[in-house]
Amino acid sequence: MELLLEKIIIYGLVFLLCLLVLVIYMFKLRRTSRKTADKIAEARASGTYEPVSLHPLVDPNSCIATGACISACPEKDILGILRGKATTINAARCVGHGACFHACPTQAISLCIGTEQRGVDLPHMNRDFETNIPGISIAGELGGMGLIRNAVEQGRQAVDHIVRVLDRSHRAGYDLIIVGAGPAGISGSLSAKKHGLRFLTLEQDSLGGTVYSYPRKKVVMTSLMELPLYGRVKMHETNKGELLDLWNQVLTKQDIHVIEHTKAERIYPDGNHFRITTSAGQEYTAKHVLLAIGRRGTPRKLNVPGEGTEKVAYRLLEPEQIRNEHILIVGGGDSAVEAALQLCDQNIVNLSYRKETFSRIKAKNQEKIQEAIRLGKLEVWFNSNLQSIESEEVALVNGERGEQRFRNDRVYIFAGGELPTQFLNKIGIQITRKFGEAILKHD
Amino acid sequence: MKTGIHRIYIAALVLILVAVTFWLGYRGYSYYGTSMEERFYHDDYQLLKPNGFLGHGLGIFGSLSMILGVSLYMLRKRVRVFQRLGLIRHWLEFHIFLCVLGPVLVLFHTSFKVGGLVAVSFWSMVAVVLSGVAGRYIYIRIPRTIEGRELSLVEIRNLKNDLNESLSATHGLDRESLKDIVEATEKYFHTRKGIRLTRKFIRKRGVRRRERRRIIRLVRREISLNRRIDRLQLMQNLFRYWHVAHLPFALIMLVIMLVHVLVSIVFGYTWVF
Repeated sequence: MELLLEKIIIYGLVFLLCLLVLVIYMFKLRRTSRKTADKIAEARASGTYEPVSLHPLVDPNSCIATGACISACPEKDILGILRGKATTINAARCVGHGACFHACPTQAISLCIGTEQRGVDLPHMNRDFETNIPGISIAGELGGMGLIRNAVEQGRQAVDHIVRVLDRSHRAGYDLIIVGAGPAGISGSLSAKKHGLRFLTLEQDSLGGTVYSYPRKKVVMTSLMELPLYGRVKMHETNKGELLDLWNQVLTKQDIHVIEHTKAERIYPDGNHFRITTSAGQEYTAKHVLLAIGRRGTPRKLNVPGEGTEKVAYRLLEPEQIRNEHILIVGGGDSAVEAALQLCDQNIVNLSYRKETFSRIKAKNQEKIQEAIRLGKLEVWFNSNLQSIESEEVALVNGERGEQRFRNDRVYIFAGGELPTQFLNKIGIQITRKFGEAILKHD
Repeated sequence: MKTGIHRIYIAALVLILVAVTFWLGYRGYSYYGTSMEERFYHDDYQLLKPNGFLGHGLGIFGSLSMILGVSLYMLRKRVRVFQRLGLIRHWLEFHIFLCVLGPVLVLFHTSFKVGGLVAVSFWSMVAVVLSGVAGRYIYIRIPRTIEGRELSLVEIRNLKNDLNESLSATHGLDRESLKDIVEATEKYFHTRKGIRLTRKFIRKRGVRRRERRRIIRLVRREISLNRRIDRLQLMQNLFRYWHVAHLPFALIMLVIMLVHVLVSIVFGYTWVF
């Protein structure tokens, strides 16, 4: 009898253990699923559920929910597990590391660009990065693949190809003109230097490229990159400042001078080379052109007096370092509102918008900005136009009230811009709209 | 890893697995074939009994192999430092190898005699292996098989349409009667009884014997494909929960295995150390 009781107790305990483990597991599974569903709902509300350009696409038939993609992704909440399958949450926030693609043991993930509803314009390029116009090549983000590592690699490869096909008997002023000094342009410049080309690098803004418009200080790199004339760069997690130091350091060491704040306005063939005119009024000729201009485009200028001064910017960098300043933000789109929200806690912020209401911003931003206005964190001036920018003041013309002057230390202008596609069209480069095509997939 | 090298890697893993299983089976064939009462008198008893030199060693190495297989794969999957080491697909293959090899060794360690509390651990192990195989190999094949079957179904339907057309041409069937035949066959397509009814129906319509046979053959194939697809969909829904068996039972197996090891040590069972 005692023996039987003992057995019942032992087996009962084991049975309880099994049951407990199973119940906890099922509970966790359901909780994860519920959390993901909540996050998806949140992402839908804030407009980050639908992908913008590059994003992972999970084949539900091959996914076995190992969760490897989620832990491999350096970003947060791009992917999650929903009802036993991986799914995208904030697809619009994917920057294209491709870590999930490599992490999936069942190869269920491919990297796609655009969606069925929302196409992404991509220029035509061959495997050597040359466009439909022989002599003009494209590298970096403009070609579809984001990430510093990819841009660096493409810049190098594109220039290597140019070196192979270059006919040095041309009469142009330069062998190569590189437009853009982001990672692809810098890598291209280094490679051009390595091969002894006569080249010139133009940058419409300042050194660095798209990386500087990332919303955070931290920059994550998933793999090593091989920088020409420098070697391997082992930075897995860095910040924008460190990266800029690196670019400056290599360029100074190699004696490469990038012509900053100079935009290539027109590029057109002239005989057997190209002629490039810039915003600064210069004209250059080159046998080859490498476009490494990213996808951000050129910010639209308001052409008001004082716009050329240093305190005016068209993107917000490192908002956490700006404190106790008088700031004017011009614009009524998401970027203007987001910048205002980021700055208003530590600064005195005025926002000027030429329309009556914020009509085209995301629901979440609408909610946040209304709350900030209610709490008096910032002032919004609808129906107003920027009149002039002076060293310590700005003047707005505000509908009925007429001119208003504010104390001011900085001005941020978010008035949209010219997309690189328009620039490419003007040059004559063919562009196709991609609707969810996989640009990285397993065979 | 290039395709060629990868093939060699997989072949090596499979070869090791087969060789180990075959050798253990061959070496212990006579012992394991002996009844429980007789085993004590068998020459290999001291070597192959669960606490014998080889038997005990198999248990230790089997367990270590499983622990290693699980932890390496989990580290590669979850810890960032390891995420740069090789392709995860190859690590999964290595995980599968070690976690199949382990249970094989443990099976021989039990000397095919499973009982007591530790049997729960053993059967959990079996559940883990089977669910793993189901999840990795069967579950993700089902949708492809369904797709294939669906394609065949489309083919059959196309054939049927062709047949309809040729029937109306050769028999001069008017649109109405043709519609009747098509509707009748559609209606009956899900049951065996349907075949008989279809046959009767088309015979009445004066369709020639050869044509009749073709129609019936198509009907049969369609029924069988529909059934297979239904079965596969059911299987897919069941196998969806493969990981519910895989992970929790692995944990249960580990806990009871640890209890088993502790009890053995307390009872003074030692191996070479």
